[in-house]
Amino acid sequence: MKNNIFKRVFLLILLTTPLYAYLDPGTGSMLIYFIIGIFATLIYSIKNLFYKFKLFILSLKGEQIKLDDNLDIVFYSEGGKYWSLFKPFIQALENENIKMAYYTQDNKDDGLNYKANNLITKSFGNELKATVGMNHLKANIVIMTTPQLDIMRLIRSKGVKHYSHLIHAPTDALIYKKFAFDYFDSIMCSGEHQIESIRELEKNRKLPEKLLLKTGLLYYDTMVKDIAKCKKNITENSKKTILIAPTWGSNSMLTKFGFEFLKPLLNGEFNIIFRPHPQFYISQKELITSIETELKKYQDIVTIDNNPSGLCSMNSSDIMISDVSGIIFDYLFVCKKPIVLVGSKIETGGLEAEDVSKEVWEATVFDKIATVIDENNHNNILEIVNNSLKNKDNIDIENFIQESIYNFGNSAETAKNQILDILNEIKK
Amino acid sequence: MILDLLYHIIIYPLEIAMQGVLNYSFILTGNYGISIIILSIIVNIVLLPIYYIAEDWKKNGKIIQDKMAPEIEAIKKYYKGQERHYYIQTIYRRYNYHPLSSVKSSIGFLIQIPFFFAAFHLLSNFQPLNGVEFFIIDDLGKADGIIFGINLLPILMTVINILSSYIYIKDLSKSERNQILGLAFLFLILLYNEPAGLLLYWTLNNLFSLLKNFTEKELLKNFNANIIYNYDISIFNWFFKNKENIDKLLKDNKRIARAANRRVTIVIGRSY
Repeated sequence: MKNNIFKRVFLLILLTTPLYAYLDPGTGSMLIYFIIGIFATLIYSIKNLFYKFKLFILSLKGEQIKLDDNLDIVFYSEGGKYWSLFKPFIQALENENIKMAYYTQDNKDDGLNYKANNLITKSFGNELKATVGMNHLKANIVIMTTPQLDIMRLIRSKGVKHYSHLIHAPTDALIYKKFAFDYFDSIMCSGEHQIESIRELEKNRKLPEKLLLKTGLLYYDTMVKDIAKCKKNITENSKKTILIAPTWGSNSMLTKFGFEFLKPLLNGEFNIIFRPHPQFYISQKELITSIETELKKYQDIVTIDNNPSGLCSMNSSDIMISDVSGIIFDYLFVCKKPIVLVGSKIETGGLEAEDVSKEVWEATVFDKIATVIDENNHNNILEIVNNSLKNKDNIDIENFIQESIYNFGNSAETAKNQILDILNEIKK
Repeated sequence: MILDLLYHIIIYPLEIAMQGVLNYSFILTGNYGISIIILSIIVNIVLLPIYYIAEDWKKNGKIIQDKMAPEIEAIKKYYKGQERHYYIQTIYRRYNYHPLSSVKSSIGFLIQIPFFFAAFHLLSNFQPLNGVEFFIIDDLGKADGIIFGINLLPILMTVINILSSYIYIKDLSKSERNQILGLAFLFLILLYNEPAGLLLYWTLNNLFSLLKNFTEKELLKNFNANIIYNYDISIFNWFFKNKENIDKLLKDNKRIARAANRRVTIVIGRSY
């Protein structure tokens, strides 16, 4: 009997090794498959639990926010910088007989001070609390600028009937991170190119078609009004003013070429406003400090602008030098002035663009709307700027706006009607 | 303790059933050697559909995994940690896949294991085989000792198994081949002195396995993807669910093409 048990155990060991292929060929690979499967499932499930648990524990810290019930529309904001987008939307809806809330992650969000009879404003205090709160929200419609609903930690709450994404940039939907829009019910798009891209993503991923709304870009409503009120922030003189607005990180003109190539512009011929992306002071402090030290030698012609809003600098300038980002479109659309674009290559690794054959929209229009400079001609900056100023009327900006942006400067009314239609449909 | 419990719950009922088949065959034929052959045939017939279902599950799982692979690779290239996990989770969701599916694919295979144990336990201790002569075997209850005291059946079994393995699993690396050989010899030593009745059953089982693999392989030669494509689209739909992808699948993956061939062979065998 002992011998028998020994043999059974021995057989069991043999059978549970990949070499079991010997007994019945083919089954060996099946067994490897089985073991890998068990192992993968375990790791996957443990990771899932761990991330959920982590979110839950972290969100317990500090005061808990009580959410409101019976809300028709909830605007969810990641922070104060999006207020210019939500404000015209909320203003358009404030006389409607609906119950709204503006929930933000940010205690300093200006939206918290906005008063309207049908609006409640609250701050979650931080992203984690906001995520947990939003995951348990009850409302008819949630409108948000946060992409990747139901992908990362922010999931679809069972108590919400409709999720709408409000696009907050004029750029293509393809330069978002993966699966940015896949699990929304509707997307409020700012331009036709976004609709084309989202449809192609849906087709390639065999996802049901979402409601894609021709809304426009709401912050342009605010910008168009505000820029008119903007005072020029430099001394008036006959010189043209150049706004140098570099982004940070690997795409930044300063990371790529340093400041040296811009120096010819400091010859006294121009006023210069230098407005680096705020993240520069955090991520590339050494580089920005050395550049600013250099610029201080030219105090009479250079202004360094660190204001939260860049609108007045945009208004004060005659030309902008920037890199690939949404700001060049803002400048073109709102200020209607020429742009010099440093580097036009758009990195698409890990982004939505990887999953479609379509080219990113920006890449197809840069040549139409800006003078593009790269490693081959960046040393001729002075000549390029002068030519751009001279030829500024060559670009048909109005026509380009028509082609690229829905309801430019007046999108809130459209957005209001679109969202009320959805709400009526839900309430039917 | 646990092994005994598992034995009583899973293997014992099978063993009783197998013993029933063996005894009933003996009543019909009056010969335990033939009864063992009948038992082996019946067990193989019972396991055949399970084997094919298991193969199907595995292949379907593999098709989905192959489709997801490039997307997952792209994610792994750019993202790490939590973000990567969530993106991969989204890909699984879109393909309606869970890592557990690969485990499910193997369940069909696992069902076969208790049959091996039951046969082993039954035939290594089956008293009625003692002293029973069959063909060139003097005593089914003892090791055969046919070639001047050397046991023939364990050697035959080993040869068949090695052949079968080599036919079925083509793309083996050298070390895998050595492993198979090594294990074959280990098994030879382990079962060498077992009763001839058990070795007869085991050898027959593996002979069926060899035949099954050999027949499939031969049948496949007569069908190529184009013939199948035109043969009966409904059969294809049954296998692939989505016929738009057939061409691409067959083109991209020769293994799937082979599986399709075999699937159709089986279906044709049944329906025509």
